[in-house]
Amino acid sequence: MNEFKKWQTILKIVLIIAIVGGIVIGSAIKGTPEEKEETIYEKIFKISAFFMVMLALILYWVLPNTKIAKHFKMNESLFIASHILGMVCGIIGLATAILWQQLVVKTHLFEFMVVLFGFIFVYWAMILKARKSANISDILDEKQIDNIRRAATSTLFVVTCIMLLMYFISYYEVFILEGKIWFLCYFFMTLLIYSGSTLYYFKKE
Amino acid sequence: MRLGNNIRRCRFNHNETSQEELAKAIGVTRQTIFSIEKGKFAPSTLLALKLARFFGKSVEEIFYIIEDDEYEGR
Repeated sequence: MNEFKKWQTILKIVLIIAIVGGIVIGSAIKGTPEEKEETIYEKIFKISAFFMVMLALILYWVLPNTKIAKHFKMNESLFIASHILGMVCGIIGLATAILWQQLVVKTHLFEFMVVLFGFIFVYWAMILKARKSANISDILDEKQIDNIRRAATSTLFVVTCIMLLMYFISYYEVFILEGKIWFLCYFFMTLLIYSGSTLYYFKKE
Repeated sequence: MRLGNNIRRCRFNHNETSQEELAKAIGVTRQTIFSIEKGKFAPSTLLALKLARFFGKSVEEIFYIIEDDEYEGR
């Protein structure tokens, strides 16, 4: 087993543990007395989100093995479009998460803000899977990979600094973020800064 | 020390190949060719060899080293 496959397997195991853990913890917490009645909108959002995730998974498992796979293309435009979309989702998600904290968490609205980016991500994964079957390992060129690496490092640094700042702002009660909103802020900020810095490095360097 | 290159000249001598055509021929994006030409991105050995093969030249004919003092003097 080479190094890449080893890490891929470890990541899959961690992902499965995280999902199962999330479900188990979620189920355990669900029975608390503070729980409120779900509205019809929440139910619709949750069911739609579930079907979208299922659809994405089915597409990922089925399409790369069909004849359609040969039409999958990864090019410069898609690379740029994906990251512009990532920035848009990040900005909208971050703005709504900060401005309408309760609404975003309660209605699961945030899941729909990343859905388009999610589907592009699934498309990337499908290309990767289809190419892997055809023994073509690279879907990005070396500069794009280098840009992504640099963007990931920048994102780690910038997001840590901003989250630290937000923590202090919240700590001194200048602006309070609700408990559940922290993850969303972190997620959308990461998406925004990662996509933005990847585009920056791709275009400017 | 920096990596210099003659890709622009090679493209011109090679039937005035565009960046887009060159990128397509060696399987990278046009932006990558642009960045290599500008000296902003240093290609891997594999990519340098692909470029050399495309132009029918040796790697040394396309890429060269610019010493720091030489670069500052420009």
